[in-house]
Amino acid sequence: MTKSLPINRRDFMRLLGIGGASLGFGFKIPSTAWGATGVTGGFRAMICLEQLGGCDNFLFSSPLDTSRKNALINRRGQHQTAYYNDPNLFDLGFGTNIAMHPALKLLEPYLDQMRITLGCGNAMHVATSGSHETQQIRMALGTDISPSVRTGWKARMFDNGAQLIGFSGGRPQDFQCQSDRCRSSPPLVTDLMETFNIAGARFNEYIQGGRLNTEQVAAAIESISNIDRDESGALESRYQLGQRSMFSQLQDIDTTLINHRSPLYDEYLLAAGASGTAQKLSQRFRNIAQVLKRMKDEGATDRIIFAVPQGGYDTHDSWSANNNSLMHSLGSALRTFLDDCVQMGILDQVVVHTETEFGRQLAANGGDYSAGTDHGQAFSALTIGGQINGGSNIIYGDMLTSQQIANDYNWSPRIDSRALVAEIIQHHLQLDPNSTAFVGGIANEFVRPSMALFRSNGSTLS
Amino acid sequence: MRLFAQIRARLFVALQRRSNVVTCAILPALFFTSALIPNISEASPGYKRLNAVERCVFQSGRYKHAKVKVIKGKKKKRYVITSAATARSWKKKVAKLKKVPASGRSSKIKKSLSGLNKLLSNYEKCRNLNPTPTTILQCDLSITIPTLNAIEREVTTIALSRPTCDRAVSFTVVRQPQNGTASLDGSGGLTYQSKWDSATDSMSVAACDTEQSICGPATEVSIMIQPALSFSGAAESLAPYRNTSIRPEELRWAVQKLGLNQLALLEDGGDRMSLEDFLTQRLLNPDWVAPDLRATLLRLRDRNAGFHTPNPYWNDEFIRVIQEPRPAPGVVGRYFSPTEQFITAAEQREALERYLAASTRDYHPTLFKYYWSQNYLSFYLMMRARYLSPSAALMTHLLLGHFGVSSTTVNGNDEHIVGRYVKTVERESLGSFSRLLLGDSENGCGDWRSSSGIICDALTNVYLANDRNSPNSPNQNFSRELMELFTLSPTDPRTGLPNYTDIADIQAATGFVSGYVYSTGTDGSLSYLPARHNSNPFNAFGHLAVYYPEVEIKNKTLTPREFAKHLLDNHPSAPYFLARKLFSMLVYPNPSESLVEELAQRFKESNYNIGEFVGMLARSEAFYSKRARGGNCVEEPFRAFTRVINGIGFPLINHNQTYLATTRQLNLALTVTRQLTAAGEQHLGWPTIFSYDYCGRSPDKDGSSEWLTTSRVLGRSSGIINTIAALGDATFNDFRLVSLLGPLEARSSLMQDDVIDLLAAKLQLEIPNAVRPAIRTYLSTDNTGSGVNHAAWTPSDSAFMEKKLAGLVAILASLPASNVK
Repeated sequence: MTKSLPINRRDFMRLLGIGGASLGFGFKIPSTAWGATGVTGGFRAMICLEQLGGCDNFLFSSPLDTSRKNALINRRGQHQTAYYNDPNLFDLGFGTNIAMHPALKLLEPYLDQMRITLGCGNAMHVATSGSHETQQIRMALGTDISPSVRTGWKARMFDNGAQLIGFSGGRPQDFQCQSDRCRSSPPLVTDLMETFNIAGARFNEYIQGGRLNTEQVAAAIESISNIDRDESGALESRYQLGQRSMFSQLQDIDTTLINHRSPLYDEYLLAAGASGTAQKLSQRFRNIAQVLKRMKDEGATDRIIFAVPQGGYDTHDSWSANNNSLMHSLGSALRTFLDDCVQMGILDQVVVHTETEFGRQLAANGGDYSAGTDHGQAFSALTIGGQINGGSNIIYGDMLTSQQIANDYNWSPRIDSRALVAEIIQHHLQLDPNSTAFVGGIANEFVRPSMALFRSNGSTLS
Repeated sequence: MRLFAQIRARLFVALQRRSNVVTCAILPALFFTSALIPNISEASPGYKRLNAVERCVFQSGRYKHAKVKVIKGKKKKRYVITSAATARSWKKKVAKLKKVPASGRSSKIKKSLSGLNKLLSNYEKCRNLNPTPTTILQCDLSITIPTLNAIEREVTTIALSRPTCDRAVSFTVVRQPQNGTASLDGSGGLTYQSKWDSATDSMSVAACDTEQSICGPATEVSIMIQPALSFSGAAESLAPYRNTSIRPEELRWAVQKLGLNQLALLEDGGDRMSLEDFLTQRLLNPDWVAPDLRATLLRLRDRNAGFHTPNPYWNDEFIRVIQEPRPAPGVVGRYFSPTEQFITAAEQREALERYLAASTRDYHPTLFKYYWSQNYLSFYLMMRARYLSPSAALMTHLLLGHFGVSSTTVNGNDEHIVGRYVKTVERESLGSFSRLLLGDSENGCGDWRSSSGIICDALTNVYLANDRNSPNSPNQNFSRELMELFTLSPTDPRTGLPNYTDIADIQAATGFVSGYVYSTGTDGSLSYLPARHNSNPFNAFGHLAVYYPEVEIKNKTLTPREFAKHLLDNHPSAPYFLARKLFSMLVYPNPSESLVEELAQRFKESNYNIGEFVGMLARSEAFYSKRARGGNCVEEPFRAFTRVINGIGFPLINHNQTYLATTRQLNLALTVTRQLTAAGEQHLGWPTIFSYDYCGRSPDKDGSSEWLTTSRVLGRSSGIINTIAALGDATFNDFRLVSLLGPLEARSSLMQDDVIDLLAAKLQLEIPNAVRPAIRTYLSTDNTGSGVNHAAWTPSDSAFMEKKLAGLVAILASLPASNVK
């Protein structure tokens, strides 16, 4: 199901009042229980969409000029020819000669708030083994794999005061925080917030006491989780703390879901259509929207990071079918979410940023049904947010030459993905990435080119 | 003079004995003049008794004129040779004299100081030249009979009493102990360590005169061995633990760890068996069946005999091979003959297999998909853990996670390939990893019951797109996972070296593993076509050649099976990775590198025999060590849930089925599998290509990062409630939790703690005292909704107790100790 645009992009932006130089919400709300040390202009949210499996570069950045396109078709073979010749490819315009997957045309209203960074690598992808796990760990840790580093950069941000909410399926390192705060109240990691409840459990009605007994048992488990005791080992203590925080989060989630519905709450699943995987991603974004709505309602000034995994990008085969499904999920969820943010008046406070472990090789692999692509190196990253310096600056980094497309094995990384993340942390979350995310020597491992990712460098929301 | 010399010699000896440590020898010579000194000549007996320092002093001619006595009008002088003791006293005297200011010193003081300093100087000089004392006069080499009290397997040291001998003495072991090992050091320190299963031991020792090379009589040392406490194994040792004296609690531990808490293994004397018998006859016996299986089968037989209508999926290839002979089309089939008695374990096992297969067939994809699918497989494995060998089910579960192959890409027509895959893994769950990967036949293809291997497994190849890997269109998916997940892991943690390089080795491996083709459909299967194989020669693992020359492949063409075999045979990381993973999953995570080296060596020497390896672990000290005992891993929901089911003894088969695989039965399977999914786990529906953290998948894994997210902790508690609810459905079976409490007349006196202890024992839990009051409160809460009312505790009320026991099981299963092992 494709969501059609009732009006063109420029009219849409004008109506929303967020186009061009007229951007800005400039509101200032006192901080509440969400946190005492906030940012001016309301909370700041960073949503990390983790495309697990290794997202193919050309979904976000497919060349439109004839020489590159033909070179690519030659390398990718008959099964992908239709894709590169598809007239519905989403032309990014601005003279870029680069297009996105047709399903992402839904994002057209946000071209001015969108950036695609070409040639990214996690820790520059220097590993000689391009395994999923190796690269996902690098992506999560923000450094090369080392036995002494177990805490991912998102977890380090949590340890340094940011909020962190995760959805199941991502890297454990993302949540492996170390602080006292982490031990007493670890970050929420849920599948979907709607499923995070104990009310669905029910003893047998006839002989086991049904709901009443379930409630009594839940109360007993909660009561036991609150008993401080010395008998447990370290892991048992962590398990107990997990239970303890689970009960407080249960109540908190109920409050969020019931009392803070975002304007487009009902649109998410409609946009996703019938696909279960698309619905799940949309539901996750809907959960995020409810949390942000609550933060807005309560005048929160926190920095909050969401880790949203989306699996299925390991397209060794059935490239077209798999990616059509993935891009449809991504496009519909993201469009509804961004529209919801606009309606809530918080788009400037939000950045959605994609991560993946690696891109895919330039040539297609074998495949009798639908040629896929094997693990490559560099990938393209998509960043969207009210303050992102898009439009004519929508592309950062160099597209491969037709000769490179024709002859190279991989797209070699030229931009360290950590530099991109650091840019968002510094200019959007208004924190020093070196002391919050890339602590210690990690900050020295990468260089930060001047990307001008944000229009105003984000120091204020003017 | 002769008499005098004798007296002098006796005095000398007497004085020498008095100061046995020394170096001190007061020479009690009675000399009239210094000229008489040569009477103690180097040839005299007394001279031999001087130690080296004293001899040196003697030879220097400097003695202290100690005393002058008048005997019968003649002056008799006693001389003293400077010894350590006298030197000390003289030093004190010198210090005292020096306190007198130099200007005020009398000539007597000056003379004394001068004389003493000369003597001390001479003594120091001699001592520096001859630091080692020599002593001794007489020697009695008999030893006092010692008793050695040892604790089993602990190193005990005692000091043997020194015989009455003034010469150098050494000790020797005359007879070694039979039940342990002993060693002696030079000073008589006897060190002993018993073997396991030893109550007493003995050995004999003797003392020997080192100078004379003569030994005294052998003296018997009796050794009393106190049994060691439970779980006394050394964490780093793979040596066999105690066998005959294995403790019941240790066997229960083994049942919890390797038998998924199937307590029936301990019934009928199992808890009194030797470890060896217990392992071979019960815990690791792949043919073991639960004692209550027969009764279940008899009820099924009586209920469903004669009921079955063949359906359109009758020709399913997988089902066909499971159940032969099948009825002719149109003939009503019977799963169980009315005369079947299921007497032997083999008959019972076969009948259960038939039941599972039949369940699969009747509810084909159009209705409920298939039993092997991710919707049911967890329950299928639980069934096997409940009624058949639980250790085989456990290993099947772990191996499925090891390979991480998913059924998500398979459609209904290809269901049999999922079944084949599961059954292939199941076949080798306590067999050979090498045979599991490679198969026994050429190219690893063949009958899943005997000779096929994962290398030619259809589901694995389809899932990893290897059936689409050909010379002209290589696909790297399978070759990557073959090395990353199945055999090597990306990096060697010992050296930090990559086990394979990203481009060259992957490309070579992709060429090697090409050649398989899959025919889809109900009769589809995987086959090897040489024309589809990349016959180009490749180089691989050149980066490791300098360290491990045998692993390098130079300009070779290998078939898929040859390449996989090369990895197992020649890649240094294969046994290391696999052995460490198995040990970590079954004993404790993060074993030391030296232990992993030993494990790897043993695993490889056994040709990767999983059964032998697990058996070795189950016999090892490490398995019964304190380190293995507790708090190492947050375990996955499957193990935690299955332990509850087995510990309580919940039946998993509907007793009331009038035909097999009723909706209710399959709904139970669906419900229970969904509860595991809610807790984060789904067999064949893995969240990532690398499956889960099974507490050992990678170094430093302890399950905490994978399973301790808030939603998964919540999922366990709600999941176990729903599982208990499904299992306690009155329409499902007639099992009631109150039956655990014994006959009704015995229940009235039960207190809350009695019931807590009863269930805790079944779940093998130690309940912290701090949490007991909260549990008691729950048990005493009125379950009509009127609140806490201690009078509500009515253990003789079966309806009340059934509710409370259901809740108690859920509460205990939610304790951290139930989930952290």
